Amino acid sequence: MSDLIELVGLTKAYDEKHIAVNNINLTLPRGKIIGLLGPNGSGKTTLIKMLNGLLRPTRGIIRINGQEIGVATKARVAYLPDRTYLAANRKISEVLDYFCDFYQDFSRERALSMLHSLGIEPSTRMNTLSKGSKEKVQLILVMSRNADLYLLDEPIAGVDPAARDYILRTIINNYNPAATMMISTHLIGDIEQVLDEVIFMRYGYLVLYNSVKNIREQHGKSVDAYFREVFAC
Amino acid sequence: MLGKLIRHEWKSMYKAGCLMLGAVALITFFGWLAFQTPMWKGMEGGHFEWVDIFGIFTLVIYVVMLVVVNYGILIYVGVHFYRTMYTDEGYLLHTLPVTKHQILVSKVLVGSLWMLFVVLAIWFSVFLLGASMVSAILPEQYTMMEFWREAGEEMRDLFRLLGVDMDALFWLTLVTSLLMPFVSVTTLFGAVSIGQLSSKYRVLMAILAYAGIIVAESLVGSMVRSIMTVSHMSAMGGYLGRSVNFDFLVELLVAVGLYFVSWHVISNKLNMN
Repeated sequence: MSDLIELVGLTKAYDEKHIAVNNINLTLPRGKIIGLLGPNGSGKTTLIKMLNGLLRPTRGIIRINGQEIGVATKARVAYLPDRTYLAANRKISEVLDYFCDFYQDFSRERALSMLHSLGIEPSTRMNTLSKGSKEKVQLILVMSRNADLYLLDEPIAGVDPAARDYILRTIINNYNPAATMMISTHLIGDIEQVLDEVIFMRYGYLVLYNSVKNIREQHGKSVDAYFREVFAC
Repeated sequence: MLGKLIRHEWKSMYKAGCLMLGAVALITFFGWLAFQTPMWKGMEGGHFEWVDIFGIFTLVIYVVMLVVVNYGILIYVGVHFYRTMYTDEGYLLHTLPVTKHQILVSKVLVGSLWMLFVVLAIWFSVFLLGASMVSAILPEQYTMMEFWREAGEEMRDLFRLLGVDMDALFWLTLVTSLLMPFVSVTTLFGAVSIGQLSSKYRVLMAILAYAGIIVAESLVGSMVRSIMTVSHMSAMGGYLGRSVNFDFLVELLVAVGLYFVSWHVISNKLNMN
């Protein structure tokens, strides 16, 4: 099976002094859950934004399924940003209509089933939900797609431990084994159990790309402990 | 996909648009009410009653409210564009599997249509109020039909005297008026997009960009009108026609240019942080 993501010399410079992503060359396979790890300002969110077309690279090439970023790749990429992006006055049912209209791979039934399991009515307006519930709704929307690539930017930041468990459970239960999922987070200990591979980034550079199994075998410690060692201040 | 974008854009704007139309209907009713006061039937009497003061006050409010609605819809369309394109809501819009042109066209089309509806409603309101005023002050021996016929003939004579081709002016005014909302909205969107090129104070920069564009258009228009006044002193009609044509042409060209500025910003310079 061919690789899903190909990055060649990928660079994003906001200005001459601020290079968020610096000359990354990387090929990522299908069917993996990949942790995108690094301290604040390491370029994780910038990389994710370039993968889903929100940012245009300054230099370099991105290919997903062999295609450069565009309408075709966006149809196959499911993105969960690190903020609430749904209009506050919208009902959840209206958001479902929106996703049904624009994403052929969106399953309304799956979304309704997950909403039902949380006891959230589709007629609820977004502005009446708590922060945790909004994040869950957004995650449900993303995980109800049958995409090739899932990009989750800080999906468990700022939510309570119970909500974290729900989010991780939802990811595992709805994960399509043929797809690749990239999860950006600081909370490595919480998600380490679901990761197959990890990418470490610092100051926009790629520091490490390895499997979780290799890290444990080679360094005799968990990814969380190894991350703390690599990024010790 | 363009049809779906238009449908969802329409759904997200129709409530505010209907509210504006409702406001026009309400103030038109109060305007009409103002002309039902006794003052208009007996102006030669020279004395006011409280109800007349109410009538004048209502008319002032009517004019103010029409101005508010006229600019209100423009501001609403601009804020809606900014919110859905360049704030957190843009994270959803810009990751949809659609082209940047489809996004822009859907927004220009729906925003312009709502502006057009509100402008038409304002015209209709002014016409109704004018008819109410004429009806209030018209001598009893005149019918409304006679008044409009005579007024039309007088206008035709006046335009003939000035050398204006009335039919041409009518069609020119109609076409420019129908297209003007599209030009205004595209210009506004361009200014909002230019504001996003700034790293800070993006809303302020957008407002300044819009003001700058409008002032520049006015300056160019004034300069050309000055030249035309000198060279077409003897033909008022030709001057009027060319003046309207030129002003509109400048605004149309600027709007087309700004459409591509917006496209460039959302394609290459998008930064919602």
